[in-house]
Amino acid sequence: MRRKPSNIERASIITGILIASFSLKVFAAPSAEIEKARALTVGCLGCHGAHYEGQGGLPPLSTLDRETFIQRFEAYRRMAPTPSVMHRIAQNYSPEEIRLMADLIAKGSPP
Amino acid sequence: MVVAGGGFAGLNFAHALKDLAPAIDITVIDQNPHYVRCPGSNQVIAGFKPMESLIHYPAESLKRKGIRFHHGTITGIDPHQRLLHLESGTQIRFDRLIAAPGIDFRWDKIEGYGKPQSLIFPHAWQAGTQTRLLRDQLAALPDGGLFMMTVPGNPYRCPPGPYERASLIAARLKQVNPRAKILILDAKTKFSKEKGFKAAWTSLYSGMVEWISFETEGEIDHIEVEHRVVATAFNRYHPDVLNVIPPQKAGKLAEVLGLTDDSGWCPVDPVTFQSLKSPMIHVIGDASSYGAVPKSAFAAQTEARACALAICLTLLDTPPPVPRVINHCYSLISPEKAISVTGVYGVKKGPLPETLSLTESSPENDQNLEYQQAMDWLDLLIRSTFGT
Repeated sequence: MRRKPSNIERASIITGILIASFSLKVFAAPSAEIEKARALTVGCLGCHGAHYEGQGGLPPLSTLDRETFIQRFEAYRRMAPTPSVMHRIAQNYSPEEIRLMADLIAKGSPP
Repeated sequence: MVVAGGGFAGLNFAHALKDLAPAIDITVIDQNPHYVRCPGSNQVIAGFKPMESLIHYPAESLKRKGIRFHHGTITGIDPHQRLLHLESGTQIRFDRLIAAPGIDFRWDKIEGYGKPQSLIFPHAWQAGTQTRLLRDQLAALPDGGLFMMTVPGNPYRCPPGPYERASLIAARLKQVNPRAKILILDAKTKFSKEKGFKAAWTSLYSGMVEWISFETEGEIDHIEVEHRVVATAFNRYHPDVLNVIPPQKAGKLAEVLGLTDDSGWCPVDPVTFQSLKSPMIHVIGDASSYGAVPKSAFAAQTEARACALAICLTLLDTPPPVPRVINHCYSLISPEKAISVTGVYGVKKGPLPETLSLTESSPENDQNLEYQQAMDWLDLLIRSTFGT
């Protein structure tokens, strides 16, 4: 199956590096959408790690599947004010943006 | 790609760019081989953590990733040749330069308080010997003595930092010197997480912490080092220990590179972080004027990632998308309790990021849990920045 690389991956290919380690999910969506998702998620790594790996009580995102990611994010978004940090954040993302981020972050995202 | 400045912004940028485009050649330049971090330094000042815990050596983890670290001081730039001149005489060529110069102090703003006086009345707003000095002075505070802190107007590094410092110092004094007082003289009329801090001062340290708003007292008129006096329009204070947090501006390197405007900070493009003064240079971290986004390590890390993404795309002539910036910031109100504020920022109408939402902890929040999260966050920040 031919996969369409995003521009940033092309940057690396152009500069002469084979990106064997990039996982499937990176290639899951058309490039402009993945790059938009990357720009939407720059703030996530502060608590979830540069590779979404988590730390102590701060949960990893890399182990969530796509549906769980969307379901949880939507739940935070709809929640009445609660003491959770994620509800403070989630209200600023549209359902479309949440799906874009799930495509980038969640494991096993469909191509 | 050359990164000038090896703090939270510069180091996270180098790591993020290497992750995105491994073939890009990156050199980080800093004037110190080690970095003493500010996040966590209030715990050291108050005697709850050792000084050594703040010191990090970034070169090793950079090297593991194939990023060079050059220890040296930048003294000039030749923009036509794209060369940086170092104090040692070395020249370093760059295609693009990322400046992360941090902050410096406006020594001309408080009469009687300049750099030499900071050795007597420490600022401790850049971590290192200043942190040690304030810690030692606090430890020697006389019984029932007065600890006084002066806080500048916005913008400055870490908006809630002074109030966390006051809280942790109160926690220490409550244990060892309960008749002591903490007085905060503020150039502002309100402050970050004000409700949470004030509630903590009442419930945990009743009567120990007093905050004086600009409205009540006005500006500091001058400081008399020889008499140990802080003079305002209405009063003369005689603190036993004085912590002056001076007004701030972008780090000296920003001036060397010609990146600052009249505000003293560096104007940037909100998407690419390109300097509006010099388009071949990008400015990230505390030194940049980045709209409503506060100057914090969390924001610096977010900006570093956003800038790395934008640079990769502009190298390909693809317009980069607007980043959604988050600043999530914990402040300790005691050695076991914390409160937090979460800001989300985006570009809407104006050119610079605006606040989309800003939410502080409420009394419902479990402050012990927030403390645990704060410590986990700090571990993560240290690991991602210094690789340790």
